[in-house]
Amino acid sequence: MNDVDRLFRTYNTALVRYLTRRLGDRDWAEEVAQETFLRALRQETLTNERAWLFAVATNLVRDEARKASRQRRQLALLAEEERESSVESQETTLERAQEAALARKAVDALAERDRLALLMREEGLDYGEIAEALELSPGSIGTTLSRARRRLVESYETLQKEQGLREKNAAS
Amino acid sequence: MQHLDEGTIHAWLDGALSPEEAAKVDAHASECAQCAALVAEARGLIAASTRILNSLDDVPSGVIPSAPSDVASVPQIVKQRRWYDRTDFRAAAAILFVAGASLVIAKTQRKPTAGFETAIATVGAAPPDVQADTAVATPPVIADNLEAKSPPEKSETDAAATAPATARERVAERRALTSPSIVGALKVRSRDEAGREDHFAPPSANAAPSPMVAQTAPPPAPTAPMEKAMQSAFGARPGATMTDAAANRPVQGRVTGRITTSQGAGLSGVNVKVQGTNLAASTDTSGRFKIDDVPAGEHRLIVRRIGYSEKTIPISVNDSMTTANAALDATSNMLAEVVVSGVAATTAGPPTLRQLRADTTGTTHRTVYEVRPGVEVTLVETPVMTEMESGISLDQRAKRAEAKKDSTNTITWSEGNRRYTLTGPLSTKQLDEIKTRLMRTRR
Repeated sequence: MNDVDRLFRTYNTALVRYLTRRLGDRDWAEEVAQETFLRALRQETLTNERAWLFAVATNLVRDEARKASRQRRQLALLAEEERESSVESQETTLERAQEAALARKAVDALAERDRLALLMREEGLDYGEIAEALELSPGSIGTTLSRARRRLVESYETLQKEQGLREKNAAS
Repeated sequence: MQHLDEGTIHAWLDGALSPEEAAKVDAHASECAQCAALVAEARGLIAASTRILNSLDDVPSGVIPSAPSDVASVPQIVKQRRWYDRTDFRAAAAILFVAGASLVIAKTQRKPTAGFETAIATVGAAPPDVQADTAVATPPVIADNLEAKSPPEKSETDAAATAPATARERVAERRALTSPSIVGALKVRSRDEAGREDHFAPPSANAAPSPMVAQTAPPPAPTAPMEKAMQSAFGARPGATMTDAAANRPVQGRVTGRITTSQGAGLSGVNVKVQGTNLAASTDTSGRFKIDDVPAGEHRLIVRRIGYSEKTIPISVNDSMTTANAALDATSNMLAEVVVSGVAATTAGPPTLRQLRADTTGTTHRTVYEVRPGVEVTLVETPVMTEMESGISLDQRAKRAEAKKDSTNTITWSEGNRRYTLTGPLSTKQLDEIKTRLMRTRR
């Protein structure tokens, strides 16, 4: 197994999941992940490959964000096609979509640094790797993560309550 | 020890503390109710945040993503395009510039240069792929070059500081990576770094480029000066004739060859690199490799593969093809002998119990058991008494226990109206096992 093969097999799943959670779209995430691996190919050596991959992917997301409006137009078309071809039960889809939407809002409400640290930690990066990828001091990662987790959960619960109230009002 | 802060608790739960720090935190959390509550809360937060993030994985592809919230915070360094800042305008300007420059030169020399005519004739007669390199007067090619070779935008925060890829290279490499075979991607990579289209492997049938691929090609940099664009397009200074451009182009050659084992079998996956450059390739399944655009001159090829001895091949590259073959010898690294030894721990194995002696003093019954030769435990059985009755304060008992702590462990328990104390030079876990066995026997 060559090096790029190993890199891809080892980190692709985690990287795509990280990017999907970050971007909210799997296609887009896979595009960015592929670009990240291509850049890894051009590197002679990678000292801390996981931290490097996540750092480059994070930076690519920032770059890609500038193209977001153009891509969203295209994704709107794709979403339209998706809706037409979808055979999933409307109820299940709605529940899942509502849950995901709440989670997305809660994640988006986090500060950028907190969000990235949390998503990287969820993909198994240790404190040293997160610190390297985000250029933070390793000693601050615990505090960053604790703050991120607390805010995420609090934000999610608040959103849930608001949604519950809205549904209650709509029913009455 | 001070109370634990939330960051430390999370670091501890995430296993990010050193063993010493973790032991301290553990000890404090087990003693301090306030911190224990914080630990419990942190566990809950970790589990809940994981669950929330997991729900993001159910996103089907092709939905409309919300713009990442940091988009607004990313400084928009990209300038607004001016009305004239369009690819077709720039291509037209380039053509006019070439025509004008040629006219000036022709007038200066008072007759049309033979070189210009020759070049025009060459452009007309050249095959399509050659035109892509030399047909400077063809607008699409110029446009492509302008796009592909313009410098990366300032705002690109590429931590890797990688070389900018051309648009074609990006598209072709993405195609290759989209295909199921990752090896295919390596093949693409192992070919020409300069991204010449004729070197890319054809995309597999199921690897049609996604519509997004074309869109993610870097946009033309609005700030690219025309002079630089001309240099990119011609490979020579602006104003030069096409024959000048051809003459000024550095001589480059192609290096091909085959890497084999000492038995002559082709070796795949061998890394072949031109020393001191970024030019490299990997061999295919038959051991063949090809490196393009190697500058003319004397070079050394470094040939490496795990399990084989590295070789350096001196080569002399000119404008034609250079062949470099090599046979690698397999290396057998002799590892030092590994001796695995073990010592039977004195505490290993299930303890066997043999009663050595027993005595009764008043209401206290004392029994001594031999667990192993030289290892004895003592079981003291007394009626349950209150602190007042026993005449020994709990504090005193604790001090006694502390005094024995260095050499022995003690566990106490009650059953019915009897209190038992088991003492011995064993771990509390082993004492617990003995307790279970003793109590089972007694019942």
